[in-house]
Amino acid sequence: MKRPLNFALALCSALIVLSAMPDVAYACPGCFSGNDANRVAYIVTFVILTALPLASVGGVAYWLFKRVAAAEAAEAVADADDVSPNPAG
Amino acid sequence: MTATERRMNPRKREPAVPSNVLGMIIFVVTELMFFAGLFSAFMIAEGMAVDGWPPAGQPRLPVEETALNTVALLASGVALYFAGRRFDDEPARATGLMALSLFLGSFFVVFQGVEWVMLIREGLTLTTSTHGSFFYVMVGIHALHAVIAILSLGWALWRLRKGILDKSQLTTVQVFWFFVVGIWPVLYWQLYL
Repeated sequence: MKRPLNFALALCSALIVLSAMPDVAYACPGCFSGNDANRVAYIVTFVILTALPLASVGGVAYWLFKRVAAAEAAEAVADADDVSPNPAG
Repeated sequence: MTATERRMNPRKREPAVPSNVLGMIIFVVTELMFFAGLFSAFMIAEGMAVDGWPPAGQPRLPVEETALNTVALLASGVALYFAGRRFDDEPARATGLMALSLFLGSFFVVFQGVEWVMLIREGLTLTTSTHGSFFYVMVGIHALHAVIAILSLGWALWRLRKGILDKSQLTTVQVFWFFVVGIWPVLYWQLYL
């Protein structure tokens, strides 16, 4: 009973020590840069390259959805117009 | 027509979007991402320049002359838009506006060519600086697209004069032309201003 407890305690201690060890990573060009214009350029490009594909594909999908819905509505109206009363009753 | 007759002779369904138009739209979306990549690379390079942009000692780009050229390209887009409207009423009436659009697009490309010759004479080449590299690559790729758009519009105009142009073909050419026209002001703003 005591061994698992000791193991959990050791594991937690090790995790706490490990989590305290890393320093701040300076690899993020949008977070840190000596040149502020460069940092802003990275942020702008992040936004463009993330938003543009989503907006383009989403926009095309939405437009297609609207076109198909309009075509189906027009077809339903045409079908309703085509149905004539049966002369034989 | 009774319900039985309709089942026997189903009406041919028209596609909600013609395949050629949809194909061109998907192609334009991929082109948009290609240009977005170029813009991103340019913005990073511009941001990394420590002694200002454009670099010192490089020829200045002709901002005012290119503004005039930009107006010509935008006008070609407007002309093609109204050509499409006229085509809906009576196809033959679109000929003049399509020819005008073709002329303005060709003027744009020739003007760009003259501008390139002058800039090369002033010493701005593909290898003189990052500025020159980005300028020639980005404007050159756009010019390549413009030439393809001109050839496409020429083909559409030829078919129109023969009376064999259909609406989906014109729309396909319009989508590509509007892309070429629409991306240029962004290029102008990024590279020239």
